[in-house]
Amino acid sequence: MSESVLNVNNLEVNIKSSKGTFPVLENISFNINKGEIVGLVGESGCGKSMTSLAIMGLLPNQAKWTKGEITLSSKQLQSLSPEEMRKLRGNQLAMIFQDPMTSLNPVLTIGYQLIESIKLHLQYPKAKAKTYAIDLLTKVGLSRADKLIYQYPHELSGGMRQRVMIAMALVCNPTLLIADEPTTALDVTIQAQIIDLLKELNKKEGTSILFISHDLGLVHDLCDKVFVMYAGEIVEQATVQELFDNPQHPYTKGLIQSLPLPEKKKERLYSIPGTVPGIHDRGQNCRFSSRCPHVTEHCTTHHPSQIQISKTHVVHCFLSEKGGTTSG
Amino acid sequence: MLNTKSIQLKIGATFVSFLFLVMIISLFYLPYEVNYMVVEDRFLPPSLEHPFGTDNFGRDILSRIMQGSQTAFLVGFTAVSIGGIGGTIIGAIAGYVGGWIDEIFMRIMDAMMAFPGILLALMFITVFGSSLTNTTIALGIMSIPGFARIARSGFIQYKQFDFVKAANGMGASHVSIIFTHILPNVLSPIIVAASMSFAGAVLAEAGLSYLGLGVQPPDPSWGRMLNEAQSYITKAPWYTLAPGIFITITVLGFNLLGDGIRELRDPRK
Repeated sequence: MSESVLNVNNLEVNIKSSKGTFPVLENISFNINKGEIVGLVGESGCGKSMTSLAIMGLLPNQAKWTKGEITLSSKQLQSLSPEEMRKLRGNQLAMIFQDPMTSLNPVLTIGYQLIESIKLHLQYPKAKAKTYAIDLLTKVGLSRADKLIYQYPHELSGGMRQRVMIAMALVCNPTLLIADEPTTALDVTIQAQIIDLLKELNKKEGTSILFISHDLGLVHDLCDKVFVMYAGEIVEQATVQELFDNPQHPYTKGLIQSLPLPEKKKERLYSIPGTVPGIHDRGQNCRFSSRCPHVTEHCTTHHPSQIQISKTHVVHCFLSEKGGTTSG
Repeated sequence: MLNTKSIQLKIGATFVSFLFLVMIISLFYLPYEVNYMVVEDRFLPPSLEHPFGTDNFGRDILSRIMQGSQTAFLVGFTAVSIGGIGGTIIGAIAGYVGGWIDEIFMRIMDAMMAFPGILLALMFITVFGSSLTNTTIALGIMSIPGFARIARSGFIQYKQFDFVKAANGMGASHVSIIFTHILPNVLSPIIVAASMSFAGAVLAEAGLSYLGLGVQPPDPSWGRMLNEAQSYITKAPWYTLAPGIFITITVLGFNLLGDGIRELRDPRK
């Protein structure tokens, strides 16, 4: 068993609204090992980003971490002070955001932003920081890095900016890189390049990556393990192979069916009916019951517990309870 | 910036640079000593020797105008600096931190805004004595709320931008986020406000001096000169004209400059 980089145990996050306090994340437990790329998939509003923000310690003001532990390389994150947490960010933990167009400051040069973070974390003198910045930019596949550091974000294309963001995340060789839909705002060819870059970094530097996406196709290409989230819970976790070969949860099946594949060209693309229930109407039932094609009476009144399919495959669904697999 | 089509910016910049030039020249050279009186030369109309004529004591008006530009710039610059720096810091903290700190800061600003500027200046002068320093400080304090509002709205807008989240994700401290990440973005509306507020400060100083509360005689000030000139408006109309024109050019110039910068920064064009 390789060493664990991130362990999330029974995490619960509540959000305060005018109507009261509601849980946005419940019973989130997972583990990421060193050098693993883990996918976190689900629709919008499932709590994917909330999970990543909880790990980063950047939860919005209305959200509160109420239960559970997050352990990053044997450090308990909830016991750290805000100042210690701040030092950890960018150092052991780094994050890439969804939209490279807005994640760089438009009024500062690329070099300034990169050098600032190098000086902050590594206390390099200016000249050394500059050489290091150029090295980093070259490492993420940007040519003319020595010129690039004097340019402003608007002079760069989306793909280049995302590479700059990745370079910034790599300043301290983080143990865990959280990529929150890093390719959503990019076109497909650039997407592939960024995915390749992430793979390469993972291989070369051994950085563990938590890859958040709603694109199962990308997850299939990139990740070792997948967590499927639905309405603030992890409903299924498995290795990529297991998940695509033997999906258990009806939601996972729905997601896989919704993938546009070349051989399905003539058919109408499948979509899961309905939407994710809002945080106000989540009760003591299976949260997917309102949209599930196999819903039973039991599902609408009881919350499914964890069922172990294999050593690495876990699902939360009543259908899997009776004798392992169920056919679609 | 120079190849812009904005007429406002061009006129404004021309006026402001002209005044700035006058001010710089006055530091090194004045045609006559400002308080040098020649009694037989009273109320001379504009001529080659005295381009703007002479006043009731036979002093050269041009020299006094030039000297007065120093006062105008000093008051404008100091008041805007006090207001701009103070207001930006208050607005930045209020906008960035939010919550009850924001509420308290902005209610204080509202209270200050409700109070007429000239009245506060008068109160200041009554308490601390009438001097240019007190006038300037009072004007500076009065311009704080305007800057605070602009900075606050900018900070509220920018603090939810992804690049701020990204900076947070990189472990940047709050101070560095406020000053290196958000402030440069908010700076352009603040510069516009500073330009406008400069004109306001010059006008207010002229107004107070006109009432005899700012610059004390015999030091020349445009407002003071206007005050003296009005007694002789029929006898020497050029005496009122010179300070009047300069006050107009200053106010117009800085306002146009501010508008021009705003237009230049407007992405919708």
